[in-house]
Amino acid sequence: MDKKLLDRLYRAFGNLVRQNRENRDLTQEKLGQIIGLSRTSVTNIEKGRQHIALHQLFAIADALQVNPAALLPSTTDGSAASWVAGKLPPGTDKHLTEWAEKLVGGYTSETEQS
Amino acid sequence: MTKRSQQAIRKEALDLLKKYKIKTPPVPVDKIAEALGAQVRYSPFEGELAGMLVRGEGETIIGVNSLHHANRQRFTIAHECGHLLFHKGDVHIDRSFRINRRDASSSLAVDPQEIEANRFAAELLMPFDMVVADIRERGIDAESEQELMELAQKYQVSLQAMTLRVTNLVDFF
Repeated sequence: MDKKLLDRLYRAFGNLVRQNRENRDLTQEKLGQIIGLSRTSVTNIEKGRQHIALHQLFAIADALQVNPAALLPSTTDGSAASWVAGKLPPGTDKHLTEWAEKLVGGYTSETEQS
Repeated sequence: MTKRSQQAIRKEALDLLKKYKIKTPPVPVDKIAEALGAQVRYSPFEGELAGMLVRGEGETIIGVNSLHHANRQRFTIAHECGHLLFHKGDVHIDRSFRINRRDASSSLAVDPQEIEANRFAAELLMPFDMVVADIRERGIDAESEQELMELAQKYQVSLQAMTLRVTNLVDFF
């Protein structure tokens, strides 16, 4: 996976961790204690700078009392597209937004130009 | 009024063609877009959308509605290149193009940026020098339908776009 996509994927994951942690009224410190990581590690995970292992996903989900799937970014996050939606003018048609996301996510075809 | 004169837009297009050593039609517009730093991507869209320019973090993407005719897709790419060169903004969405002069001055296309992008597209795909040479050589005018059709095919543009171009350039003689 391309580095840019990788960064976006982990940032998206980090955002979900942060949202769920805040929903549970847990501090980064507290979450770290439960899963056996330092507060700095939790910060890094939430910022997308630290790439966790699969078993850590389960540990975090367990600590936050959510299904691990709830922490997984949607495919559009993973494929980098979600940021484009925020740049479209307000009220942009849903299909158009989806088209733009798919495009930015890397959809290509070579059928057109001669 | 647009910010850039027709002459300035023409010069921009001709300079690009010179830079990339393009001397004969059809102009490889996708290659030019890539040379300008954009990735061209094609995707079908049912509805009024020709294309889009997206400036992201370190990447610029030109999206093209692949359901459109190949000539129209070329025009879309050229139009987006115009936005890329001339206009700021993270996203330009182009729902449909008004490529004829009457529409360009009507309420349908009052946005100066759209007019500039359309003019640039015409200048890029139907380069002044090449088209003028063809007009001279063939002695054609806006009435010569068969000739215009051949010319449109040669440049890989729509008949409508070529007719308009020739009409504008014939005024020049």
